[in-house]
Amino acid sequence: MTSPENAHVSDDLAAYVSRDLTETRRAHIYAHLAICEECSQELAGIMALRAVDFEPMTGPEREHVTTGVRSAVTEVRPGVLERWGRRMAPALGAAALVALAVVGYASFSGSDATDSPAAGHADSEAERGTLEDQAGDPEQGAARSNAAPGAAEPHAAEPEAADTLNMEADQASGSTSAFGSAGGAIPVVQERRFALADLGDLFGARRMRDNFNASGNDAALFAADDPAIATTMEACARTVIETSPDPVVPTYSAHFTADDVIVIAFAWRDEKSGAMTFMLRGWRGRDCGSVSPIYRTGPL
Amino acid sequence: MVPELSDRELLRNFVAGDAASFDALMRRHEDRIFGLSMRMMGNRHDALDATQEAFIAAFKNATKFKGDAQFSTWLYRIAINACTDLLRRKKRLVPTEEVEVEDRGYRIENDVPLRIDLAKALAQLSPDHREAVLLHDVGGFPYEDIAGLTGVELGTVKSRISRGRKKLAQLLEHPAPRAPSKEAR
Repeated sequence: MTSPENAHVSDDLAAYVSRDLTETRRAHIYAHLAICEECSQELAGIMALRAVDFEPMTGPEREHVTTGVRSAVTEVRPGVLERWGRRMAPALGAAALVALAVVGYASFSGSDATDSPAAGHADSEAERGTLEDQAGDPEQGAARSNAAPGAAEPHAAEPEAADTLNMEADQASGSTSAFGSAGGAIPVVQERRFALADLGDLFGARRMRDNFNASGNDAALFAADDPAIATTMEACARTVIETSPDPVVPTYSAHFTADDVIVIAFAWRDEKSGAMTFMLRGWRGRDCGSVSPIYRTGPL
Repeated sequence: MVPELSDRELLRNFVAGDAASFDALMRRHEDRIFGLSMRMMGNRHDALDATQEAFIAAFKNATKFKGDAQFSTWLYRIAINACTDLLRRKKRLVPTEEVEVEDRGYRIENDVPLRIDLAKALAQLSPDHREAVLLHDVGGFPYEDIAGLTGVELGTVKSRISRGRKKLAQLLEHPAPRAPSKEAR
């Protein structure tokens, strides 16, 4: 017969650490831990998780998070993902994607501003099923998350998806969120279209800052000479790439601190036809991954 | 503020168009989600990103919350996936350390190495083990809730938690060598 000291105490270890047990039970667990390496190891795991020390979010950090969430949720529009998927999935599946990051501080922030509301942008909804390709997870091939059948799929969201909807379509679509069109709506600055060859001169992009290959896609980021601007451009360009519905496009997440307008031009080539699709998107704010787009075009 | 309402009621009101319910839900849960994110991401900047993405995912999927689990458990699971997703995306292009040393206007803290070790160890757990350990040992959710949410037997939940804890302790004692980044050129 197993003595009380020999019975594993795994079930009560979390409560033991939280001091949420009677003194008698605590004493029992204490005695068991002295002789059981397995339970001691479990306790070490719990302690590692509990021992993390950090300051709670500051007021500005709370505001930053809330603003970003509110902005993204405001832009939820049913049906956009389906439209996007129908139009772009075949092309993107075999696309060689080229991302060009360009900054249009002066050319966009003050010119031709209108009061028309930017109703939002595409919402990928992150409906890609269960998690896979886990970061640093050697067991990823065998172990994946098990979503409960019928349960809401809690896969993390891609905050926004690049879309080719034109502004007319955007403006025609009303927000369905709790915030309505007035809360956080950012006016579209303007709509402009450019030839591919004009982009370098237009935005002063002078040198390639970074390039990378992933899964057969080439992507190149062009940045200005100013390191601060280059960092901002790179961050935003990567955010655009990251939120692309093409799952094989390389991804990145970053913030920037400039309070200005950032315009990203990005393009992808259909390998069969060779046709380039080109579009621009713009952001105003401190975080291109979370603030509302203010500017976009359809395919050029 | 509508603090007397339950999470479920607040979420229902949010879906019906009540913006105040959004704020109430954020205030009620953001500290816990941020705490989880700090453990999984290892640095404040990414933890804020993950917290934001978790809430975005939750609110965008609010209509899918069926109420067969506690909202807090459901949200916590979404946050775990948001962190995992962010880690997966970041791993392709940038080492954790590079982001860590950048000062982008957020608070810089002193216990960064410890958190990075924990975050790396968590990332090496299997998804099932990681989820179970975080839900129970950080989130404080009972076995039964986790079993209901994840759709597995109670015994499986206990086993995952037990194995996850042990693996975590082993990894922190002998962390695996860092794999070279494919993107580093």
